[in-house]
Amino acid sequence: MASRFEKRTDVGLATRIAVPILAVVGGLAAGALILVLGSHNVGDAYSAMWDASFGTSRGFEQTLTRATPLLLTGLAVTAALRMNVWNIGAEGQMAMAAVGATFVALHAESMAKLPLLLLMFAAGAAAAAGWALIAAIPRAWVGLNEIITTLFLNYIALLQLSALINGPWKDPTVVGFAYSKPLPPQAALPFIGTTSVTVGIYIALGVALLLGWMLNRTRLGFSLTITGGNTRAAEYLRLGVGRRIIFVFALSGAIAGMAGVIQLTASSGRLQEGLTGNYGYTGILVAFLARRRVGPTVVVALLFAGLLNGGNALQATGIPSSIAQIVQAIIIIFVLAGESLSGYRLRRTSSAPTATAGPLRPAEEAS
Amino acid sequence: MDFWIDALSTGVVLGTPLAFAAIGELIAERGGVINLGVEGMMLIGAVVGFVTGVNTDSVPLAFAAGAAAGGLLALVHALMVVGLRVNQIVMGLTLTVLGTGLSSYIGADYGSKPLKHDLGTVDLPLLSSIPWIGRIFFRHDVMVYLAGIVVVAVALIVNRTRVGLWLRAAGESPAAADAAGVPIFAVRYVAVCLGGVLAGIGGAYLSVVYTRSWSDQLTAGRGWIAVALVIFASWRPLLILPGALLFGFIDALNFQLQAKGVSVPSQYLSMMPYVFTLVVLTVVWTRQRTRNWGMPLALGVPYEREGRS
Amino acid sequence: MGVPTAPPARERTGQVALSAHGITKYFDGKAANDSVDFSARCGEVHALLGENGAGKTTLISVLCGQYRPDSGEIQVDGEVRRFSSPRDALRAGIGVVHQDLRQVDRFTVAENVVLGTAQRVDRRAEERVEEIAGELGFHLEPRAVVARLTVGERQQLEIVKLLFRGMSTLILDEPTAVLAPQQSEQLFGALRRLADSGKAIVFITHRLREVTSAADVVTVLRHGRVVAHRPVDGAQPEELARLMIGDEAGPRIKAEPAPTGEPVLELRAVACGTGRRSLHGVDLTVREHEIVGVAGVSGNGQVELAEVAAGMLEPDSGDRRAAGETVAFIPEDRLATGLVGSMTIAENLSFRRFRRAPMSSRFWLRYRRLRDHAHDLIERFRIPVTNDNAHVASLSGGGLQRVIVAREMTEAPELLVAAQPTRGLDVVSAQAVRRQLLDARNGGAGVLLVTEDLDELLELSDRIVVMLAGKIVAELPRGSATRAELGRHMTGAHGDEA
Repeated sequence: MASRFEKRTDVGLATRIAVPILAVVGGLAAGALILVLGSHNVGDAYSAMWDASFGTSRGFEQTLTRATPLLLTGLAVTAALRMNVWNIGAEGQMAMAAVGATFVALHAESMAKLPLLLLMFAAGAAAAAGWALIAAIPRAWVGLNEIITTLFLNYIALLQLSALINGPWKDPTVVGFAYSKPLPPQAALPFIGTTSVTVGIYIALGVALLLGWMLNRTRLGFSLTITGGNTRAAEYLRLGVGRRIIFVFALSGAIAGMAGVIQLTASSGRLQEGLTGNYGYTGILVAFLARRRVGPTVVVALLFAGLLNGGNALQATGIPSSIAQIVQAIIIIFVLAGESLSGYRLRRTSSAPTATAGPLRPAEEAS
Repeated sequence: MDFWIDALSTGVVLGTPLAFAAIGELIAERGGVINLGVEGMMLIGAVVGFVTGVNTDSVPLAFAAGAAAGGLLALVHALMVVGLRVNQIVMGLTLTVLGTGLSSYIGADYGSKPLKHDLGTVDLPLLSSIPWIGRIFFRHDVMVYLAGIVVVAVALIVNRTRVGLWLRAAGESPAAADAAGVPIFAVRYVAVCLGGVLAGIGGAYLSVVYTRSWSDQLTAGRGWIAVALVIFASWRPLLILPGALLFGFIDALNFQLQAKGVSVPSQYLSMMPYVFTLVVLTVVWTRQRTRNWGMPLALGVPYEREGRS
Repeated sequence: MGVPTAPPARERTGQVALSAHGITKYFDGKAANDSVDFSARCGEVHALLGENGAGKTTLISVLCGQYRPDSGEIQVDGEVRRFSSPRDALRAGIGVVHQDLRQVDRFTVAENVVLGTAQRVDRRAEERVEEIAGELGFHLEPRAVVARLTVGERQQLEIVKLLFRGMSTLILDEPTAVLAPQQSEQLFGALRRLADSGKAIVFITHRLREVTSAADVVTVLRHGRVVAHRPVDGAQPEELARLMIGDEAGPRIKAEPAPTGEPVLELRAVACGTGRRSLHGVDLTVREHEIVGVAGVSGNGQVELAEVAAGMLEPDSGDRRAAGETVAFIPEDRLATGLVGSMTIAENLSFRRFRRAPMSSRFWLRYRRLRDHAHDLIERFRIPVTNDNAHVASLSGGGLQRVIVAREMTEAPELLVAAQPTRGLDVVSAQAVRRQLLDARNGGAGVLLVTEDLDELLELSDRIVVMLAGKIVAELPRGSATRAELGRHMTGAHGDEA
C-alpha cells in the first residue's frame, strides 16, 4: 500500500490554529534541548525568559516597547504584500526616516514638544517614503525586481546613516563610539503614565487599525487586492497598476519610517548605528507568518518581541541571549513546514493491478 | 604606490571569502533557488571552523568542519524550499537568524581563545616575481588560489558540461527540464547544499585565516554582500572574481585609510558598488527587458510536478 | 554514450508497444480517469478522441510519468513498468509532445534537444538534429534560440527531441490546436511516415475529422472512461460523435441572418507592437446585431486585435472608436486575465461594479450589496457554485467561463469582444456560452469573436475576417465561407502576405 501527498484546496480553521501553536511548542522544545546539551538549566532559563517577556509588568513593558517598531515594519511589509510587492527595504527606510527626523530635530532646537514631534514624524515618513519610491518607480515603470532594489537600498541607507553619524553629525565629545550629537530634549516621545512604555505603541496600534480598515473595508483596498492578485485583470478594469504600486510602496515605506522615528525618539535621544536593529528584516518574517493579514500581525509581533526580550534577559543568568534567536528561527521553520504539510492531504493509493476487462467496466473504489 | 599595492593585495584577501560565498550562491540561483541565508551559513561556517581549529589544531579539518556546517544549514533550506515548496525569501531570512543565533551560542566561550596554527602564505614561483601584479595576486595563502580555481571550475561546469545544462535548465524552466528527464529536484538539492558548503568555507576563511579569532557577527554582513555580488556579476560565474576583488578592495581601502587616520567618509566609498549596480540594472532593464540581466527565469519559484494548470 | 542513431525499420509492426490497464486518477475527489484501458501498437496511428474535460490529458500525463495513477498498471513491451518521474517514461521509450510545449526559451534548438540525454551540445548533435528534421520535412536551425521560433516550429522541435532520443512511442496532445489546416496535413504526413517506420503514434484530438482522415484506430473517452475502441475503417462518424458527446449536446446553434445597425466599434489603421505579435494597419468595423468572426492561425495578432478592440491595449497609431460606453470582454485566458484566483467567487463577480453605488459609497465597500449581486448572477446564469465565498480558482474551466460571462453580460454591453470563449470547455458549457453570444447579438450588441474553432466560427458569424501577420487579409460573408477557403487565407496560400 503506497502513500502519497495530494494537494488540498481547503484547509480547516482548526488546522490553521493548531499549526502555529504546535510550532511554538516545538520551537520551545527544541530550545530546551539545546539548553540541556549546553548543560544549562532549562527551568531557570525559561522562567527567566517568561518573567522578562510577559510574566512581570516590567518585562511586559519592555516587550511592548520592542513590539512597537516590529509591529510597524510587519505592517509595512503586509501592506506591500497586498499588492504582491516585496518590500525588503524596511531596514533602509527606517534608517532614512531617522535621518530625516534627526535633521529636523537638530535644526529646530527651540520648537515646542508636540509640533516638533509631529514635524519629525512627518519628515521621517516622507524621507522613508521617498526612499521607497526609488525602488517603486523602476518597478512600476519597467518591472525591475523590487527585491533586489530594496535590498541594495538597505545597504546604501545604512551606510549613509553611518556616514552622517561619523561625519557631520558626530558628537565631538564622545570618544570611541560613534553617536550623533544629542537631540533637543523635547524630541522624546512621552511615556504612558508611569510605565516605561512610550506612546509609540498607541501609534503602532493606530496604524494597524487604519491599515486594516483601508485594506479590507474600502474601495481602494479592494482595488489593491485585485491589482495585486492579477495585473492583467486590473489593466482590463482600468485600475492603474503603476499608480497603485507606487502608492503601496510609498505607504509601506512611510509606515516603516514611523518605526524608525519611534526608535529615534523613544531611546537615547541620539542617532545611533544600531537603531534599525534588524527590525526591517524581522518584519518580513512577521508579515509572512501572519499570512499577510493585519490582525495576526499584531499577535506575531508581540510574540516575537517577547521572545527576543526574554532572550536578552538571559544574559544575566549566564546563558547566551542567542538562544532566543535560535528558538525564534526554529518556531518559524516549524510554522512554515506545518503550513506546507497541512496544505496536503495524505491519500492511500493502490498499485495492485485491477482485473483485465473491457472498456465499459464500472469504476472501482481506490482503497 | 605602495599604498595602492597593499590595498589591492589586501583586497584580494578580503575578496576571497566573498568569492567563495558568492560563487556558491550563484550555483544555487542558477538552479532557480534564492538563498538569503548566506550570512547565517557563513557565520556558522566561521564559528564551527574556528572551534574545530582551536580544538584540533588542524586547519584542513577546520575548513572541512566549516564547510559541513554551512552545508547542513543549506540542507535545511533545500528541504524546505525544494521539498516543501516554502517561500524562499522567508526561509532564507529565517536561516540567517538561525545561523546568527547558533553561531553566537556556539562561539560564546571562544572569544578569547587563540588559534595556534597559521596557514602561511605561498609565493607562486615565477608569477610572484612579476612587478606589482606579483605582490597583488600571487603571494597569498592557499585558499586564495583555491577560490580562483573554484570560480573558474564552476564557470566551466555551468557553461560547458551536461550537468551545467541541467542546472541552467532547472533555473530557467523546471517544467521543461523535468519533462526532458532532468532530475531537477536532485539538481536543486545539490546546488543549494553546494552553496552552503562554499559559504561555510568563506566564513571559515574569515575566522581561521584572516582574523584568526572569533567574535559575534564576525562576518559583518559579508554574506549579504555575497548575495549582492551575484546580481552585480549578472549571474555569470567568471565575473564573480573581479566583483569580489572590487568589494574586497573597497573594504581594504577603508581599513587602510582609517589606519592612516585619514578622515575620509569611507562609507561613501563602500556605497559605490551598490549604487553602480542599481544604476546599471535600471538602465539595462529599461532598454533590454527580455535579456533581464541574466536572471534565471524561474528564480524563486517553487516547482510542483503535479501542478494542475 | 554516443548519439542514438535511427533505429532500423522495425519488423514489429502490429506488436503492442505500450498498454495501460485500469488507469484511475482522482483530482479533488473526482475521477479524471476511471479504469481506463489503452494500448498502442507499432506501425499504427491511434487517435484518442474526446471532448474537453474527458480525461485525455490526464491519461497522457499518467502515461508519461508526470502523474502517478491512483490505481492501474502500465506495460511497455510486455513488461510492467512503474514511472515515478517523466525520466522513467522516457527511458521506457515513451515520448510526449505536450500542448504547452515544454522548452527552455533561452536555450538553442540543439540545447533543448540534447537536454536530459547523455549527449553534449557539439557538432555531431547538431548534425543529427538537422538530419532528423530533414527526414520529416522540417526546417530547424540547431543554433536558433527557441524564443524566436514560431509555434509550428516549436512543435517540430518537440518531435525532433523525441526522435533524437529514439522514442518508440510518440504521443501528441492536441497537436493541431495551433496549426492551420494545411500545416496539420503536413504534420499528419510526417506522423504517418514515422508510423510506417515502426513507431507507435498516438494523438489526442477532439476533432472528428482528424480521426477519420489520419488515424488507423480510435479510442473514445467520455467523462474519464473509455466508451469505444475500434478501427477507423468502417467506423461511422455520427456514431463516434454520439459516443464522444453523448446526447447532451442538443441541436447545434444556428444564427438567423438579421439586418445590422449602426457601427459600435471602428478601428482605422490600427497598428501596435513589433515582431510577430503585432498589428500592422487594421481596419475593422463591428455593427449592432452582428457577429464578426476572426479566423487565423494562433499568433498572427488575434489576441492583440481583441485587446485593442476591448480597449485594453492602446494602439501605437491609428484610431479606435467605440460608439457606446459599455464594452464587455471575455478574455482568452480566463484565470490569467479576467479573474483573480485568490479572491472569492462573489468578489470576482463584482469587479465591474464595485467602484460605483450601490456597492460602494465614499470610501466604504458594502459587502452585503456585493454578495446580493453575486447571488443574483449565480442564479440567473446558473453558475455551478455551492459556496460563493470559495476561491474562484477552485472552479473548473466551464465554471470560470460562466463567471466571466455572467459578470460581463449583465452590463448590457454595446460591444462584446470574446477571445477563444469555448476553449477547453465541456460541450454543455460551450453551448451555453455560444447561446450567450447569440443572445447578445440578437439583443442588439455587436460581437467580435476570435476563435480557433472553425466550426464555431462558421456557425455563429455573420461575417468572417481572416488575420495573417497582423493584417486582415480577407473578409468573407457567411454564405460563401468554407473551411478550405479559410484555411488557404489563414496560411497565405492565396498570396495574401504582401
